[in-house]
Amino acid sequence: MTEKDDKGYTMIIVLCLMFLFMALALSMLFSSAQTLARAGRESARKQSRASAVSFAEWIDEELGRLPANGAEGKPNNLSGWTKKRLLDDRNWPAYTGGLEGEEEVAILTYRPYVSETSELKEEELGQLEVKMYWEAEDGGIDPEAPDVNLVVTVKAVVRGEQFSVTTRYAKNLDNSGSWDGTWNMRGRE
Amino acid sequence: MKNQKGTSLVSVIVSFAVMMIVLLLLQVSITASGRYTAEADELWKQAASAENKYVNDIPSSEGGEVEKAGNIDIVMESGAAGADREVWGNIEKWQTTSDDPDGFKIYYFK
Repeated sequence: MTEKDDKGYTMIIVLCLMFLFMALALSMLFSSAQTLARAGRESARKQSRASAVSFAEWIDEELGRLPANGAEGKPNNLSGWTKKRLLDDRNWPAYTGGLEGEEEVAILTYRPYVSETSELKEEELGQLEVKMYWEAEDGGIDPEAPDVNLVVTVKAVVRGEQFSVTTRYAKNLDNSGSWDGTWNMRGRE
Repeated sequence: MKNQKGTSLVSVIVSFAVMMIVLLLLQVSITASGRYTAEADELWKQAASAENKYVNDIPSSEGGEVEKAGNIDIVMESGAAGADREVWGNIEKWQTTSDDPDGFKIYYFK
């Protein structure tokens, strides 16, 4: 092998080393960018969990309050609205899980109304959604039955990360078996 | 011979330029990588700290690290295009405190 040939080989080796360094540097860059993205997702997940869980806990308290009406005669708390829909209006059918298309009428979907001056900011608390349906333990469809369960799912989405809490409530019945419009939490998942 | 010297000079210049570009990209990659890693580390720490403060839920007035951030009248919309509105009650918005004004905070309801 001549000296000229040697120089060619040295150049190839140097170029290979350069490419190797570049590959290592790019993989390091990619890896650290992934770590940063994962940290961002984790922080968003923590926020979505806090939003969903704390809102579900607030709903627990509100469903335990006696129904109340506002100045216009309309309910002004959550237990008031559930009782109105369930017993007064009678336009909220049970969710039996066996009928085609019943989700559309039996599962109510709520999103918060956010005014410009509201403290409820999506960039802080995420997008909230509440789904609510009721069912009787024996599969019946009578809203006045004592074994009616209310099922509420709270979902919070923060920067693409979502967390859901589903809570089941039972009617709070007194000794005579009558219902005052409040609900007791039975379980959460 | 003269042509060979010219070719050699060009190849040296090109090699040097390629090497400089590679070294520059290497330096940029390493710097960016270090910055990303440091940012990720800081975010992890802040998120973990904020979660602890949220779980402990002790107001700053009682020596804790959460504070009330506002009151909200919760009005929920349902039906097509939010046709039905229901007032569900009043809720408090709380947040974790942070020394860094731009630091990560957890917001929650009470």
